[in-house]
Amino acid sequence: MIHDILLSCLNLHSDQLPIEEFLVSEAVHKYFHPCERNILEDIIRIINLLRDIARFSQIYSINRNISSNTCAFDTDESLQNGLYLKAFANGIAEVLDEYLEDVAELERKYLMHPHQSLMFIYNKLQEYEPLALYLANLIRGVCVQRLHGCAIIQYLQQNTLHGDARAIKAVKLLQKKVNVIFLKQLTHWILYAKLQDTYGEFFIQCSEGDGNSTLGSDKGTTTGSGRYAATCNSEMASNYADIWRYEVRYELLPSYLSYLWAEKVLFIGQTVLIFKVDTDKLKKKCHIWNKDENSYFDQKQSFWNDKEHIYFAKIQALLHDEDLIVSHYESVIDELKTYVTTRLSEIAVNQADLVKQLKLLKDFFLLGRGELFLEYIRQIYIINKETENTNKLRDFVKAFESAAHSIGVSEELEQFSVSMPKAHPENDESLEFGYLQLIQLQYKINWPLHLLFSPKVLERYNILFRFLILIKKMQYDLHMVWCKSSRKFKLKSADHKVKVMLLRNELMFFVDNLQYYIQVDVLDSQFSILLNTVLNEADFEQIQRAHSVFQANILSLCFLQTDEDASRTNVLQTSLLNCNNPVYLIINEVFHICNDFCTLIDNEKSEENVDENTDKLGERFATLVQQLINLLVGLKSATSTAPLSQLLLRLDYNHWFSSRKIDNAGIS
Amino acid sequence: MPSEIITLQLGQCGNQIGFEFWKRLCLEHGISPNGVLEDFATDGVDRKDVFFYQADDDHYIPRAVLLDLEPRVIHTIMSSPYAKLYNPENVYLSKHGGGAGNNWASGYSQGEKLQEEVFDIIDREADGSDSLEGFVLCHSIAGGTGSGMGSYIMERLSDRFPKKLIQTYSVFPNQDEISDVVVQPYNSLLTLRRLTSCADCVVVLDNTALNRIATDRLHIQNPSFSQINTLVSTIMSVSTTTLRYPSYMNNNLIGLTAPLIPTPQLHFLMTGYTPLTTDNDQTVNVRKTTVLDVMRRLLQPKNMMVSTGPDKTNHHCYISILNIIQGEVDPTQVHKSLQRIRERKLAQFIPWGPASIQVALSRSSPYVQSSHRVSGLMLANHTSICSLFERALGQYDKLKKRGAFLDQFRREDIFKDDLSELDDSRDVVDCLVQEYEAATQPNYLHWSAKKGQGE
Repeated sequence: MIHDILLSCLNLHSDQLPIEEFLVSEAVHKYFHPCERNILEDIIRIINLLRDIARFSQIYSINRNISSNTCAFDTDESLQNGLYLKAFANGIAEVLDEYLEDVAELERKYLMHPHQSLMFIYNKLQEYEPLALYLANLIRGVCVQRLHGCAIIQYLQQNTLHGDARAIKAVKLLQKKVNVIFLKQLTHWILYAKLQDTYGEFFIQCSEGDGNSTLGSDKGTTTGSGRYAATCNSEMASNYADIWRYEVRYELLPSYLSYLWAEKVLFIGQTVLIFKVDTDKLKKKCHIWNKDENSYFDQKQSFWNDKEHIYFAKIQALLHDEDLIVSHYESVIDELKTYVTTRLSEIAVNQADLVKQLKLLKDFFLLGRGELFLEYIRQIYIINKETENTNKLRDFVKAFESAAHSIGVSEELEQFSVSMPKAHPENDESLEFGYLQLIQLQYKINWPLHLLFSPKVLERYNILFRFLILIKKMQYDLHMVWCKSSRKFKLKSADHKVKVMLLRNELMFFVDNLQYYIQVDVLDSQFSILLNTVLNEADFEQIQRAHSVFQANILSLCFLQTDEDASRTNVLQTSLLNCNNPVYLIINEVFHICNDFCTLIDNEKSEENVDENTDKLGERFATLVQQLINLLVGLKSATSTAPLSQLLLRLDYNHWFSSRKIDNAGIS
Repeated sequence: MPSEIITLQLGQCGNQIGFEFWKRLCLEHGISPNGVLEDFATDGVDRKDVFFYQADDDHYIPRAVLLDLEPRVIHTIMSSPYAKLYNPENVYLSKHGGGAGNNWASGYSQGEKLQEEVFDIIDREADGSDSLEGFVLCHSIAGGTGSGMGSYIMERLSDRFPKKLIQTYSVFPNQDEISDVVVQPYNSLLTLRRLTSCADCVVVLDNTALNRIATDRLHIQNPSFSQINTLVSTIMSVSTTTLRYPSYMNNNLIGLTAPLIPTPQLHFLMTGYTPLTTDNDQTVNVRKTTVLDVMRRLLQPKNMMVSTGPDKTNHHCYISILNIIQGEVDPTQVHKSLQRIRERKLAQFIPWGPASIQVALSRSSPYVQSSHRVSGLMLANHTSICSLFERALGQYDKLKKRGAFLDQFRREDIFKDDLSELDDSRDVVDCLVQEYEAATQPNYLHWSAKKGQGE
């Protein structure tokens, strides 16, 4: 009978437990002392516990689809498959190995001393009871919380504190098992930017293009890597955008690792990915590329400068830590990041000519090449006059090309192009200033600057671009009005409208000085700061930071954003935020006045009403400028009004607007 | 290339300053004297096409028309190394070569006779450009050809090209020395009338001030024509930099002039330039140039290229200012300088409308080395320019009272019947002076409205 019990102890995977049946048999009643029976019951209880644990490990250590509900721990569904779970289960099996060995030892002892009592087994099994309870608890936790992926690491870490030496040893083993998987994925991501993650368990995930969160569904997660492989073969341009699909899943990140750390890891991977995508591209085209570019390609391939093995060893060394040392994780990632950023800035500045790209960006998005956009606006002006034209949108796009050709910047056309998203019919009313409000400047980013110019960053540049081109257009329209009056003067035509002239001068003055303010005080000043940073820093991260500071600053200094916090919010919100900035609202209103004024003057028929309408517009304009001045007086905090006071210094240089305010106040 | 500009050079003075201007442009754009782009200048981002066009063999040809009634200056140009630069079809010399004898009327009637040939050239040039923006006229107002023929051509240009701008660089005679042209006051007045009514923008180059600057500031005892003309060509080239180089604003002639000229009558501009040095002058180099420094010095009358005489009543003021700053400029300094100038009240502005110092930071040619870190040109519309016209009126009145030298005018068609043209011109210039005086007053707009109704 003892041997039977021992066999039951050993064979944890059998379908039934014969001893259990034996317990209820008559023999026990007849021959067993109640004490012995209790002992036997206790033994069976422990064995059952262990059996449950063993069943769990058996189920999940083998990677197969479990359709039948065999889970031991009262859950309705089976757990989601995963490498971490598998490692966990394997770890448990390994922990049980020790127990099995002990039982085998026990058996040997019984063979030598067959007269040993039941107590002897019980004694041995009892040693394992705390461990079994502990493991059972762990398993229950995993099942109940339906833990998945990296969360298991976190869960284990939470449960490392235990008084029982055996339990601690067991949990260490489990952690190690799971960490192997974690570090393997981490290494793959960092060194090769590959997600070896069929079950969506790693804390970095590739999200779907449409932004559907697919965590928890097998379909979504498996396509995570499958999709990558697919896009590799598809068009390369889309691949550059792909890097922005990777993101940190904070719910999967073990809590002892900081968000900052995770973002660093993400950044390293994205950087490597950029390089990988490019080399893939080069490999394909290798045969048509000449020798020069092949050597360039060689250079790029050695992104890690053959130091992969060093960093590989460093990451793997994390596994050998006795206890979890968070600082160790951090130091390794920091070191890697420093290497990556330095290497990247080397490449960005030397090969991609970052400085030139930034200047181009300023020339185009920030209208540094005023003459190009002036010509563009001139062509649009002509197109707009053709009332019959049904293909205006297409012509607008073409006009940009022809403007670029006539200015002699055709080379840059390779990188910049204009696009006009189709206007939605319901949006038509919001386009007070015509199609220019829809215009988008597309920028073909030089490899590997994709890290600097994410789609969001470019969208923000586009917001600025639309704002600036609108100012330029207003200026152009006002110049046309100026020409007209100058022409009339030369023809000695009698109607000399002083009011029209004054309002025209004031509007022109406003628009001109707004532009001077933006171009000199904001853009040139901020750009020189950025350029200095780029030229002095060796570290890509600092360049990246300087660039985002630059963008945030110019947006807020152009009154397109209420404050610096807004720079973190996404694009949709920033366009909403526009409306909240009082200065922007006033400027926008002034644009309306410009627009109305120019159409008024342009329209020959409304000759009689010109004076009256000009008066109205003039009043509106005066009120707005007063509001602008009052805004400065009203807001006392120095930091928020600094840009506004700079603008007003230019606008009110000869105290024209502010002294008129006093006049008005005197009258009223 | 849009916004092309055609330059017309008229008479001795006009051709001389025009010649210096083209020499300077060639230097700045890296174009050799025979029009070929230098090797070092092949990848420039500058906009050569505004002032030049390219022939079939890619060499650059100025959009310039050279006109004169006597051959001397044009012959000098055509025997210089730059002879091959110009399109020979654009060089027009009157057949008899006798000149206009420093007589406005003679120049005017010769212009009338030669107009077909001249406008053949101008029309051809205009047709050859994509979207011509305007004409730049270089001439002096005192002589015969530049003033008389210039006046006639200006009138025709504004008829034939009503939508194009006409800008002139007009040289005013030196008041400090006795001129050998006795009828200079007549010539000046008659030309001033055309400059008032036909031109959109007149950049006044006052020989009095130019000579004074050369002697006082550059320490040249007897400044030569070429030294004066170097000053002029500097002003002409810098005032066009925003047209010739990529820049965010002031990219065309309208953009440059419209903000400066709020009312169509008041279109006479002064210029100022700093720092001024000559090739053989090392002493000036000790100073450090900053944005504030340059902007402050541009506001000093001694640096102005127009001598306005002392403003006793101190009521004259700036209508508008545009500073074109070149060199290594820290953009943040611009705002500080503006602030400082306003605090110190270094500039007086008109009381009837908004006005400020507009500062354009412009690129400068990479091929011309400057010994100064920052340099600046000021284009200013200032009411005190009317003192120049007052002076011209005074001299005219003196001469006219005596009825002197009117015979040579009567010989020409325009004065055959009577001398009303002279009186009309006097009225126009007098009006202009009044207009400028009125512009110093807060009620200028009322005045202007009344005047408009009165007419």
